[in-house]
Amino acid sequence: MKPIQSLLLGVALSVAVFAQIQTRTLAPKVEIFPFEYNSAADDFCPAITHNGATLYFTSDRSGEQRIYVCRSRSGVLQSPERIRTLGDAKQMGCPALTPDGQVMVISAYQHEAGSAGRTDLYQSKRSEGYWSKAVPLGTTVNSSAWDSQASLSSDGRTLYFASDRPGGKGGIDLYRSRWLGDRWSLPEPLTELNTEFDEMTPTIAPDNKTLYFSSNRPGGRGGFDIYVARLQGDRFSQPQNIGEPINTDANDISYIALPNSTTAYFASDRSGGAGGYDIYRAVPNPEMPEPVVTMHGIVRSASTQVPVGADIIITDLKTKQKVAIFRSDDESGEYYVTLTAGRTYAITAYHPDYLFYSEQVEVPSTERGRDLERNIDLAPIENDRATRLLVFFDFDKADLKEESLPELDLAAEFLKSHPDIRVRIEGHTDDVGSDEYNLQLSKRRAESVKKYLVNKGIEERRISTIGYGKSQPKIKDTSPEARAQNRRVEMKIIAR
Amino acid sequence: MLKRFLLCLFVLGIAGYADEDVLRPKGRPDQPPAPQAEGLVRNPWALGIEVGGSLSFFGQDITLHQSPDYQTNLTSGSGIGPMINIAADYALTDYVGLQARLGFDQKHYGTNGYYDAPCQQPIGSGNYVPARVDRSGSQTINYWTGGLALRYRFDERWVFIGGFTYHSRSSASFTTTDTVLTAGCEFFDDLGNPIGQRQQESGSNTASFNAIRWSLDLNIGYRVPLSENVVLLPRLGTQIFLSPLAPDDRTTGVHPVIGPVYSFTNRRLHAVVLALGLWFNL
Repeated sequence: MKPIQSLLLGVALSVAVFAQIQTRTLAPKVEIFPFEYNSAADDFCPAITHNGATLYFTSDRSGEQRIYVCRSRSGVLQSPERIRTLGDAKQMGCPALTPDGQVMVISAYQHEAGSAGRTDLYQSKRSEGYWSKAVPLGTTVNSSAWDSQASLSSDGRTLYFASDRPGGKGGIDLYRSRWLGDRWSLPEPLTELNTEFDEMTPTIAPDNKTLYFSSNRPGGRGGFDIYVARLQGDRFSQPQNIGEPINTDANDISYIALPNSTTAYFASDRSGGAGGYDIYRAVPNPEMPEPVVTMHGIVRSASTQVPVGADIIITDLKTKQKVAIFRSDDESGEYYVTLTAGRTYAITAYHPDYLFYSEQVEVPSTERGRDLERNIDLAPIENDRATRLLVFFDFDKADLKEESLPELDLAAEFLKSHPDIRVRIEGHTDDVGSDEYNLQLSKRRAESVKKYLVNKGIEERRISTIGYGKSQPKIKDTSPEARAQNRRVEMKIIAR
Repeated sequence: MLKRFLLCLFVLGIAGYADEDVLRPKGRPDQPPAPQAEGLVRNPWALGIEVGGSLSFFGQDITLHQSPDYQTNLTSGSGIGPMINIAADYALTDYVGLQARLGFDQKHYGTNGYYDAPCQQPIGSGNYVPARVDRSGSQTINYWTGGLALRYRFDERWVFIGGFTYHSRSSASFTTTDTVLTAGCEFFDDLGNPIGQRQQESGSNTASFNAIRWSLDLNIGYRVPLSENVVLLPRLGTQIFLSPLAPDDRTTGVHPVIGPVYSFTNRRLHAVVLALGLWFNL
């Protein structure tokens, strides 16, 4: 070989080796940290509220599987406390939480509330700072077989779980059930993910697309390995082994990802732990879900600033679908919800002792990965208190658009439940157009709202109307955002 | 048959005892004996008292030797009688237990029918016409009982109890009421004096019934825990008797005019049992 050829070959080899080194260094090294509260017994099924403030997990450190909770104080998880209000059962664990942490689906074996069969799924709600006694999720979902390890989508409308019921591909399989508005659908096996071996501990990520699960199928590192699959349409993609160092030759299960975070948690019975299954933290998460928009805030009394546990409905104004129904915490008033970017939502909060609250929230696509804060102040039911009605009109018209109707139905229900109240519907416009024109338009729009409420059974004498035109802007500005805020219809209590 | 039945129940019980948990349907493979849950360390013995009743269904075959075919209406009857048991339960596993019972069980049933009796009209004329007589009767048979059963809890609340019960007859009594429905006809006493259109007879007929009977008992129970150690357990079940209620009878039913008319065979009685049990875990 000539010297020049040797030199070129050497350079080419160097470049190739360097490129490989570069490629390797581009993938960040995943580090594994043990959870500080692991015990010598099994600790598994970590579950975290989406704001990361509370970590739930299952442990049999007391001799029986029970659910424990670690609350965050100043960003530090405190010592685990056993949740004792869920009722008695021989075994109980694997909680799945709604993003707001107000509803929990757990698995229990021989729970005192009864069941459809062996281990079944149960539901508990958080009220006044406590978890209610769990009740069975229903015979639509539960079977006479082993049904366990639920995971809820961030909108609470899709339930994933593991079951060894007949009809799967063998062993433990993954199933999915959808909320139909008043009940869960019959579970369907995830045939694209199930094998003749065992698949279990499914967890759906906050993007509602990325599903992590564990399987002991051949081809893994050994025992149970963690796999990831992504929803494409209605089916999941080919699952991928999440790889080392998360997967080992031991059993690796219960993988969960936090929204917009590089942190994931999982459980493993690998050597070197505290004993049995232990919980670990993986940073960074090598299979991150898509970033999502999260919104949080506090619901409180507008007059006293006391936190209020209120029912909250998030409606996608384009599809008119209720995308989330949840409740702010009774003690702290906090709420937390995951939203899809690129949509406009209506947020409605109500509590029997307050005037309901509605607001339109636009979440542009550019907001993906961000956390929005919206505090909600509920006005007490007293004279001169007003709430904005989220009603919509075509440009220059006073005919109610269809998307206004749920809000007006809510207003009608409010007036029916408070028959001693008289209200005034007040119409406002932005500053575009003449005073006289805007005055008439706002008056006609207020009349449209009154007409709808009267048709819903509210006595006409209880509702008066007024059009203010552009005389009472909410924001004195001419920007598009300010004008959108100023075009509004409000309902004000004038007598009770 | 009994061995096969007991074996079947035992296998079912063992199969369901796999100590599953929320992580594994079959429990930890190398799991040492699971520590008992707090407050669940139990004495395997429980004592109970049961009160209730049984709805008995009586039946018999009546073979006609000649006409008329009256009394065929007496082929079946039913009635309710009380029962009371004291019982003990020994838990073999969380699901399976052995139960023993001692008690009193009364079987009661009534029958209704009619027959035509010869009636001389007018009296002294020697002219006999058939008179329709309504007959209602009831039988009460008292048994002392003792039984053994296997208890299998197939659900947190639901329990199957199956076993055999020995019935020892202690006494039996009957009541028969005949009412003449045909105008102008009535009953006469042994001296030939008219005594009216209604005649009632009652007494003991203990020997008419078999002294020993065995039943196969199959029950479904529902556990209602009242406290940590007290459970209310209503149960609904069947008593399938494996031997006849009474021997065949080919001697009664002799018509005073036309001779033997019918015979009674295959005299059977089964029952549906509803009992309310109060169990105390020791």
